[in-house]
Amino acid sequence: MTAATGTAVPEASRHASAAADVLIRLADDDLLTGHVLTSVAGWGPELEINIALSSMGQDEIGHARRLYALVTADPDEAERLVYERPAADFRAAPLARTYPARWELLLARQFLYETADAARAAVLVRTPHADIGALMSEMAHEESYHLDFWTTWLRTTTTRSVAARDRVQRAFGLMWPLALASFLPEFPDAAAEALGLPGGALAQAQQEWISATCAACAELGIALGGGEPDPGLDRLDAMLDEMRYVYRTAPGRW
Amino acid sequence: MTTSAQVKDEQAIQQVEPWQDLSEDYRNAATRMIEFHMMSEVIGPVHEFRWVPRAPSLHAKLVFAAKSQDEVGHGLMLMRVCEDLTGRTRAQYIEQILDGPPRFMNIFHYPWDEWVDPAIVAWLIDGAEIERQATLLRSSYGPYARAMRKILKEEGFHHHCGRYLIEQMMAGTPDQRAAVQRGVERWWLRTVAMFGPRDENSKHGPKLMAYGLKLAGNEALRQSWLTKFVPQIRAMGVEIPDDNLSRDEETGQWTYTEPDWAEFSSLLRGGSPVGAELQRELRSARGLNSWLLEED
Amino acid sequence: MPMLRTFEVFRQKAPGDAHVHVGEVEAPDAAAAIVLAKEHFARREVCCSLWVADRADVLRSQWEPEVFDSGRAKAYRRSRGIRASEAVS
Repeated sequence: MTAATGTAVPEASRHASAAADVLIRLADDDLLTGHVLTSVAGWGPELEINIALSSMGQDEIGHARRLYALVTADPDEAERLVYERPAADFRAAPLARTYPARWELLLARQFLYETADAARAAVLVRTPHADIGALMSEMAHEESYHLDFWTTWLRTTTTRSVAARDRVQRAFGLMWPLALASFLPEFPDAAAEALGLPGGALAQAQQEWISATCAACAELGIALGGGEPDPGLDRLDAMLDEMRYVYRTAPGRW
Repeated sequence: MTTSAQVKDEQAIQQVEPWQDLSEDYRNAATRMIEFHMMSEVIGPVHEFRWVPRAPSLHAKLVFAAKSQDEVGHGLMLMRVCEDLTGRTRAQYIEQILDGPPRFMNIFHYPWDEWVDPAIVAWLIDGAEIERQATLLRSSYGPYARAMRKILKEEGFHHHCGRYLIEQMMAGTPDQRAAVQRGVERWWLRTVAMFGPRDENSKHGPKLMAYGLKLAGNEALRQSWLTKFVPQIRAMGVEIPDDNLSRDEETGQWTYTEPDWAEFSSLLRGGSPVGAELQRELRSARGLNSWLLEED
Repeated sequence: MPMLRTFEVFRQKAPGDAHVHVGEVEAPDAAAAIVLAKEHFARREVCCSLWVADRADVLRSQWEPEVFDSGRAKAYRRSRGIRASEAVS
């Protein structure tokens, strides 16, 4: 994947490709998360919750669009990144590839997704690349609501009953290994350098996020432990098939 | 808000609230009408959410997600109106929707098998709802009239959403234009029927009008919709599949091929396989998560 | 004991405005209610603040309209107004 000629990274930079890679990783994560939330909004636990799921999903799709736009100035190319890029070229991390139907799994996925997003964004916002920093600042507003939503509903759900808490515990058992494997970009040092960030800043943010998340969950009686990421939870292919159904079966001007 | 539909002029009926001393007859009439509207808005999204994940562009995805989200919001507002009117709880109403008799609009009893289906529904039928709901802003049942304000604003957006999606297709390939034409042929009579039978053939209409719950007759609303939409459909480049459709120059009244009223009646009273499937799907989804908000 | 409680929602358009009642959401508690209220009542509307209040804490008046009317009928509570020419200089 060659770096695009967008405004985000100067073309001549030897780090151009590494920065674009991170931006596409973040965009892909938000695209899939937005797809999950706007899709499951039809099937959630209650009407009020479903409305909120859709809003948050729309926010994430909006973020994805803006992130893709930092990589390519051509809106048609951005659409093709979504509707035509081979699955193998997606950079979404393991957590973002999950597509939960059950509330407890969605809850665990989103709590971990949003807390990690916030922790990473706090580092990324320090980049000297003005447009990336500005986008991180703007997205933080919507993200602060997302974090409030999932933090609130984690508490509400786990305090419902012992059985409810046990469900949530099992869900975190599945999602936590995926979240751990998802925090850092694929090549964190190259990414930090490309984005003008202090070396080791992302790794430090990860450590702090692990501590804070374990503490927050422990307070609710949820233990975050070991376990290997389950590749069976990767639903990227199914998500892309869904996303591209009309695009493929009824091609035309869209 | 102007409408060419005949609207009950005199506001002899003052708006009432659920805690007032309303007659059982009034309550029953209001309950029946509003529960039907509510169930339509809760069941309808089952169709919509089959298509939200499949929108063919990011803009369409956002617009269609927002539209479908609004419908869930309409279901919620009407659900609250029903709960306060009858005293039934959310849990009881959800059970009624999932397991009870199918009491919702005819349009949801048909399959929505192609992307063009939700687009046409948004364009023509949400467009029709704008007419109807404008008259309901003055419904005698206060909470319902208040809910209509927010609902009506959003229907405007839905109509434009549908119109945008159809415009995209009509400006596209021959296959896309053909899909729209076929879609309108499928949906035409269903939409004409959606307004319901003429007042003289309507079982509940006269009572609803007398109570001021409803302020315009079915035929008046249908005529108003034809006046607005026949030119719009033709301007879109679509042929209307009704050779009998014509407008009297002097009176402005439309004549049209009657929909199959027996079919309409049968759908509203007895349901359909498509309708049953909607309830089944919703039951299955709700079943996965019912533990979260189950009553103690 | 139902899990869901009804919360009345009040929305403030802009700083300085009153919070106005806009409807209800149902939720297990107030914190859950307010995150739900934001997306149901403020996703398009101009809003800078929301309140939610448990319906159980809201008391509805029981007086007939005439009881309220009698207050308005008390003419002595209203100033007749004063012409500029009458103003005490």
